[in-house]
Amino acid sequence: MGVASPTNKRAAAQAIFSEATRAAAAEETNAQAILDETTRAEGAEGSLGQRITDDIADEVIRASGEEAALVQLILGEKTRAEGEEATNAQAILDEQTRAEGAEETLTTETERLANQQNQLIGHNIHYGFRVCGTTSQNCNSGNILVFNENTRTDFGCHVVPDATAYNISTYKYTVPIDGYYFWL
Amino acid sequence: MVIIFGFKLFMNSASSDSDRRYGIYVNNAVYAFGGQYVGTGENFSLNKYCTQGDIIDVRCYLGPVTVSLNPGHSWFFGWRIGR
Repeated sequence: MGVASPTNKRAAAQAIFSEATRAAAAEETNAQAILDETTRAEGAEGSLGQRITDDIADEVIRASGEEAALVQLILGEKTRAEGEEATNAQAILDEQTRAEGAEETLTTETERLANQQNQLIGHNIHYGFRVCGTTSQNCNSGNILVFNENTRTDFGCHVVPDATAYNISTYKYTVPIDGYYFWL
Repeated sequence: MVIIFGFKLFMNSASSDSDRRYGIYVNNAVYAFGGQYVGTGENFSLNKYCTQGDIIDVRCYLGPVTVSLNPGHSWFFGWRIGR
């Protein structure tokens, strides 16, 4: 093998130096690219975090508003129900008062009609009696006279309207209740 | 109610010279009686405001006397004349 000349050595060194320079430049370029990519990724990450934070905040605000509206709706419904309940209670009370008044009127009217009926009946009925005896009696002081006959129509005996008003065993007349007899 | 009560009695043994009396009794108490003496006949009537349950009868207030209670001889009566 032959010995390299100085010229060749210089060319080879030059080539090596060039290659080293190119490699260094390439490495620098790559490093810059990596740095750029890192910067970009960090920026993207920051944007995503901010967007997520903003979205969460918006959702919280939206949910809070919705909850407030729901509470307001429930409150309104409760107020409406309470008003309706009060109205119903008043209506029931009014109806009860009206029914009681009607019942009282009916009772009064019933009593009035009963009184009128008794008056009409009483005035059209003959309350009376005539009785006689069947034998002679020796009377001492305090003796009740023995009128023991109440059916002798030939002598006008009668007890009306209720034959039991005169007792033919005790010879006493008991005043009957007034105005409740139908005498046909 | 107002009721008129009365009676008529046929005396078998009239007494005009000593006290003999008949009376109308209300609830076992004398309410009215006749004169001091009885003759051959005794009668009177009265009106009485009665209430339900009042008990009326005729009694010898002061005896003794004998009376015929046969039909047509003696009777006891009453009738209502008002409420």
